[in-house]
Amino acid sequence: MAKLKDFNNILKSQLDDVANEIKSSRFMRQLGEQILSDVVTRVRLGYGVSRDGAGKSKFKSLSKSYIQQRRNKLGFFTRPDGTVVPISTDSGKVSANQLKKNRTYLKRNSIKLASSTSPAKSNLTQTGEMIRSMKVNVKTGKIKIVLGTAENKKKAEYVSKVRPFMHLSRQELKRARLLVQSRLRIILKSKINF
Amino acid sequence: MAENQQTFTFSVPLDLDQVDREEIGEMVVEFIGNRTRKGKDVNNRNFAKYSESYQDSKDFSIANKSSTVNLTQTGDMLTDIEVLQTGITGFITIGFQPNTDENDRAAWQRNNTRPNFPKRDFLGISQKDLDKIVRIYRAKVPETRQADRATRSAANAILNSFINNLFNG
Repeated sequence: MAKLKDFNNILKSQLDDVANEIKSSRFMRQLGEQILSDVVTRVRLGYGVSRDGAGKSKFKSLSKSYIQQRRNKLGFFTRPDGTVVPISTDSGKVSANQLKKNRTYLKRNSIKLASSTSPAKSNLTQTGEMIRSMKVNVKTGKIKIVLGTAENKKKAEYVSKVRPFMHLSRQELKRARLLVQSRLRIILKSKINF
Repeated sequence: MAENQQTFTFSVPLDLDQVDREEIGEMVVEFIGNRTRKGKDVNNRNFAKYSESYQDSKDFSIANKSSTVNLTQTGDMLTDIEVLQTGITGFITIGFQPNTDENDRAAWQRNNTRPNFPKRDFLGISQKDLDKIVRIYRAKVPETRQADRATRSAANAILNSFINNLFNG
């Protein structure tokens, strides 16, 4: 019993040391990369999280007209006076000649979707640039997930209003905790023989 | 529709107290996660194959899956298995919290209640594997058990200090 009590004291004194050691930028980067990978996969699969620790939920569906745009069957042209004109390939609404012109216009201005999405898939992905630009930044004992450019940051803030994704789900937090726990154990074992 | 709560209860030697049962429960949960990720069911047999349409889907490639059936897309279902009850001497219950998406997913995999979901039972453990876990647990010295508990409670505090304001920087 005395042995266990001694061990208790050793454990207490070592845990603070271990907590400092675990702040090595190498481990923090590894942890950050795991978190980022979880977030990216979740978003590409079409799930958001509304607050830290909540469950994931499917993103709101895309609007019908936006799906048509992503299919390159609908586009918009802005005239010099500011009027926005829809350009459609719906044959019932325009003449044959206009239809041909519209098709040419839409072909020229086509949306090229990333391979990780499809026209009707709501996963915050068109070219995939915003999601790809997310990076792990480790500084002064903190992990940050940052968006590569100011434009992408703005885009992320805008889409988050309706489709929040910049939070960690209950399961993502648990996986991160398990990684910290296993690292803690390895360091502690190297310091105390148990 | 919310599915029935998915649980699995197994018996353990009567001399194990509640703390022991809690720890063994955690070890079994970890074992089930690892075994399932390797593509093996409760009887250590391969799971039924994925449908061709799923293998051709965007989700399949986004999740970077291979032909090994491991019930892992985001990994959330396996992450959500937890120790539910250890209060009865000789018994441990593990499983999912009721009325959660992951509980529903687990039910679809285990019970073959939806079209295109062949039965793939992952929530359970063979007696042989359980005996091995109990043996490993008994072989742990008290110090190891204590260190395990200490790391578990310290991990949360450390993680929170690392990821405070994760997306605002």
